[in-house]
Amino acid sequence: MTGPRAGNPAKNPDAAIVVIGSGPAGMAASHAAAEYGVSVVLLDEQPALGGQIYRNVEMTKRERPDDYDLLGVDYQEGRHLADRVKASAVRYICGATVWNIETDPLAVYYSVNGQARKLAPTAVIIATGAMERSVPIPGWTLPGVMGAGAAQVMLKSSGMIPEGRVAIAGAGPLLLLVADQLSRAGCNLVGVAETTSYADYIRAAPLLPRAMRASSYLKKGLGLRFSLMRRGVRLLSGAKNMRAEGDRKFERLVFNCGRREVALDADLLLMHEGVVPNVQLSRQMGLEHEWYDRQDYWRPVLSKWGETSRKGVFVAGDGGGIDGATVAAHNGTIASLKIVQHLGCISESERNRRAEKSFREKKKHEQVRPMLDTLFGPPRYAFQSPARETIICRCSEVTAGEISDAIAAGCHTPDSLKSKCRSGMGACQGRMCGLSVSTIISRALEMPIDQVGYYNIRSPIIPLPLCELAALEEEGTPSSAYE
Amino acid sequence: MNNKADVIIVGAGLHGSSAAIHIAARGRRVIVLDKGVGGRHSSASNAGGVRRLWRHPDELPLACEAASMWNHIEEIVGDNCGYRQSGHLKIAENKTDIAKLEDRLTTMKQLGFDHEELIDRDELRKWAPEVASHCAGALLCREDGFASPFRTTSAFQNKAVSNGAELALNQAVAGIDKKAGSWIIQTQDHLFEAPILLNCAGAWGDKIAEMIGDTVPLSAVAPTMMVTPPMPRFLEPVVGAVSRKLSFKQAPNGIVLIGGGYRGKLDRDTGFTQVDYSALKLSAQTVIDLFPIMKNAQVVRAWSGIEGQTPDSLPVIGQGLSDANAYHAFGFSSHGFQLAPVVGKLMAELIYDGASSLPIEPFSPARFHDVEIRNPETAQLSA
Repeated sequence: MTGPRAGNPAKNPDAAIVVIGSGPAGMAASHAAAEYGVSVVLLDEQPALGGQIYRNVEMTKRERPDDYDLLGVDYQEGRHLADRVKASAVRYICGATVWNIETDPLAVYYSVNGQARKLAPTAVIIATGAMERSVPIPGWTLPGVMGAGAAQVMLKSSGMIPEGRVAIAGAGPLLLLVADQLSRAGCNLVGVAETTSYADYIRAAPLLPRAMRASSYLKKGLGLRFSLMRRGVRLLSGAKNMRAEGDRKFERLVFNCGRREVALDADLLLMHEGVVPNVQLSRQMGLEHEWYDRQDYWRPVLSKWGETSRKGVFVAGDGGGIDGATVAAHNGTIASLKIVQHLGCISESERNRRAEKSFREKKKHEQVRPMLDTLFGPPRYAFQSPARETIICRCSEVTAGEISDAIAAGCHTPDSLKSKCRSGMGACQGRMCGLSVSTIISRALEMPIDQVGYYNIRSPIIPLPLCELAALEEEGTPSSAYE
Repeated sequence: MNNKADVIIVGAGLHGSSAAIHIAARGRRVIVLDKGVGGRHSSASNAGGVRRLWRHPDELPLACEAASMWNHIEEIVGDNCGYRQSGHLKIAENKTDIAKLEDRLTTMKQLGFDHEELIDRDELRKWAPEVASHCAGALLCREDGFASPFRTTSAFQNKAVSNGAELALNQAVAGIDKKAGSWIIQTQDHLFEAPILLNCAGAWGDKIAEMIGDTVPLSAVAPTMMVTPPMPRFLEPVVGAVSRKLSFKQAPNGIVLIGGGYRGKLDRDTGFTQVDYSALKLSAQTVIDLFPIMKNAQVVRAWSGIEGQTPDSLPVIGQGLSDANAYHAFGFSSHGFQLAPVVGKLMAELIYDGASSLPIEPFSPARFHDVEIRNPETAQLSA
């Protein structure tokens, strides 16, 4: 083996740092570390850089300039990050799905093109971002109901616009953005039902002055609202008791709006109730998590540098808490600087100097969160007391009623429910129902959710063919420990 | 809760619950302590094999009695535990393997056991149509089967409670004292008291033994299981192999469970386990070699539970060495599931009748302090 001597983990020929996810956090982290000559492997499951927020940004610019303009300046920002990663020494592996991380010693298992591989880095940055919160309302598993974020991803990656009449329902900043983008792309929007009510706007108003410090977010939000109204899209606020109806496929969305019942006939329902950190990997590793009750989600416990309860393992971006793309990129840089300094490539003072700007910018952008969190609080009614017939675990088709019965029969932990009802045992590994199940137990037993806990997430976090496991390729020698 | 009882059992897994069922049925007051919710490790995360096939001869008297108890398990614990008499196979891949099976059969005949039979290549294909073409035959036990570990553990716990035993969960034992003829068991926030103590602490059994004054060698191991999504039915019996580590079966809902004793990593203090995929690589290859139909099957979940294993791979069952009012039943790694119904019954006999109705001498904790060392070859048989 040529090259660096043992004992200099920064020059580990395999990978001193493995970064998982090539969204804003992952791209910024990879680039920042590579600048100091540290060997970085960037793994991402998509065919191109960008993550969800900047999905397919390079190709969209090149081949679908109209869509590129439609998706806006925030989306275009991703291209600059992608260019920098491309120009660096980062070893970027696309189409790579990470299915297990061992903590002791550190090892990252992933598959690419049907080949399973193992890498043994010194440090890991998990930048797997957010996922849409599941919205278990009656009928949400009917064909014709999907996440609004998923629809946006289709627009980004292939320019696909849903056919037929589309209804959009839920809350959160992305809801209006997707409505606006689809409407401008020529989609037949029959209405947007917001679960956010006027009362939420009034509650959020006192937080406005602080949020003004990050006023670009607010302008964006108002702009979207006006744009939709100008286009004549029907906006209904304060929607309650939503249910999706239809015979074998979605036909209409029914909900209460004030005292009246509204029915929106449509062919497709796009639902969105905000995003939550994707904690599958950090949970699978057994890292410490905490409950963030302003937004009702779990997030890994992190130091100010983004380091988890396992030394040498970092989480950057929305996977550590929802703060958006700009903050995610800063968090990526911050985590990398900490690792680079730890590996001995820069001094602590150099690290602090370099990180200062990111910390400052990040703080500015975080100002808007208290207001967004209040305005777009999680839809408590839907999760905490779902109707008995509502399916909670879609992989194993377990209903809220079956879960309640099992709790009454003595299953008081998410894991015992898993064993009893098989909820969370399907191919998604509890990703879809984990939050709902913990919440239902918490409500039923009147126990704080952080005492209820979460599913014990087992690897592989995505299904792994047996023949791939049998041909597992172990790359290089184990790296030096991160001590 | 009144913290005084006739017997305190440490460990609310399968064996602790089974003993509680039988002791409580005698009208005795039983408290079962557990550091967690009970049955989180061995009891609920094992393969669920109800097996006499290839079992160590010393365990067979117990296993035969257990087998007849499993046949009416619903009468014993109020639930059928998902028990299914599917048959178990031990597959031979070549002549050497066949010779080993023949030797085993001879030994069984000499000892007077007739639950195992040798089947040839064609008969094997009737039992397992998808088995690889090179497989030459197998040892078969028709009356073996499997059950659902979670359902079984829950049923045993529930039956113990309905018989009158009390479960004290989240009570990790911090210390054990003896005062005026009574055991004083201290947990983080309670004291429990009883004249008799039964140690069913599984992989933590040596620690409890230590507190009583008994030294028992035990290592904690974390055998790994893998599971696939439901597949079209292709296999009825549970399958093992003579020369490879394998435990392979298809559950009634179509999912395939793969075990075989490949070990994960563990932290006994926190209970955290970690699957070791470098080890499972071989497990995947074994499965594909013996059942080519599995080549493209997907693994959706893998897990390890912590089990206690003694140097000779036999469990520790019997009276304490330093105190006659302490009893042990732990360290069953990879063969405790089938034995659970009978061992609980034997513990109740040992405590209250002064003797067990079946021979348990080979499992005495005293064996580790004898000069005679067991032949490791024989111990292998039980793995």
